[in-house]
Amino acid sequence: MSVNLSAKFNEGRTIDQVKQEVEHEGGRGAEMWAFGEQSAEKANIDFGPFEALDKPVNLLILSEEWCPDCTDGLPIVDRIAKETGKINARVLKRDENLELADQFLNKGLWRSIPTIIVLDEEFNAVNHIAERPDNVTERRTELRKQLHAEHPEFGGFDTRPDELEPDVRSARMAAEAALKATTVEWSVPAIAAWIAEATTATATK
Amino acid sequence: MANPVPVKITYCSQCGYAPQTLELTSALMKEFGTDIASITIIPWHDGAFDVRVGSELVHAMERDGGFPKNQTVIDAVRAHLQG
Repeated sequence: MSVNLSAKFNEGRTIDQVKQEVEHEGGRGAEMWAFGEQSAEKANIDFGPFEALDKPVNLLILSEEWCPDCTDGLPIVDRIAKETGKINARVLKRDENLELADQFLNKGLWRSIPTIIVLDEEFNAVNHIAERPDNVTERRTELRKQLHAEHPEFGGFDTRPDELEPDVRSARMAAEAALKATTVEWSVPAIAAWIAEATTATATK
Repeated sequence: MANPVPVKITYCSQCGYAPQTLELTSALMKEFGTDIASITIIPWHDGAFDVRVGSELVHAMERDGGFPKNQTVIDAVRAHLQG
């Protein structure tokens, strides 16, 4: 039986409410949120596709506060919503909504997050996207391959972490995390464009 | 008696995979007791959930998708013990 999306939308939290909860909880989640928010604020996002919409679009988002793609993505959606007034977003915890997650699997297989479900005015799902755009994943992978080519001490791109000594493993993880942080200048606009494509392709203009 | 086999579980700590890691660890401890030489839990990032039994990579999330069934890993450990 399919889930009532209108009821789920009304049950969802606003992104401001999610932010308040994350900041109240503190710790690693709050640090990740702050990084995502700063990255979204600084980014050169193309708001044009959203501004061209006649009416605001409803987005129902499955998320979890510990997920890096969610703490990257939600602040981007929030900035678009606040800059353009063309997005109404509500957020549900994926792990408390597995039946809904199973209706919108990433590539028909995975309960990836964030999952962004685009709803029409009657709260019917008209599109959904998940995790991050493929072009961001592919470009980050290329950069990681370059990093490994420059640092053979990390054991090579295909070496599994458990095959490394603990000190090498720690150094590799730090280097990969630092590399990802350098990608926000282009990854945030790419994520915004991905959301724009999914949102505006099916919305009434 | 076969030599005890080591097991390594590499999990993405940023992704909230701790419960699945601990559930699998508990299942292996209950099933094999001292027949497992060690269970090493390695916190990682990047969406990882890898399970290695001896030298064999029994499961990798990016290769196989999702989490392994506990029974799949139990069967792999048993095969190593009998091999």
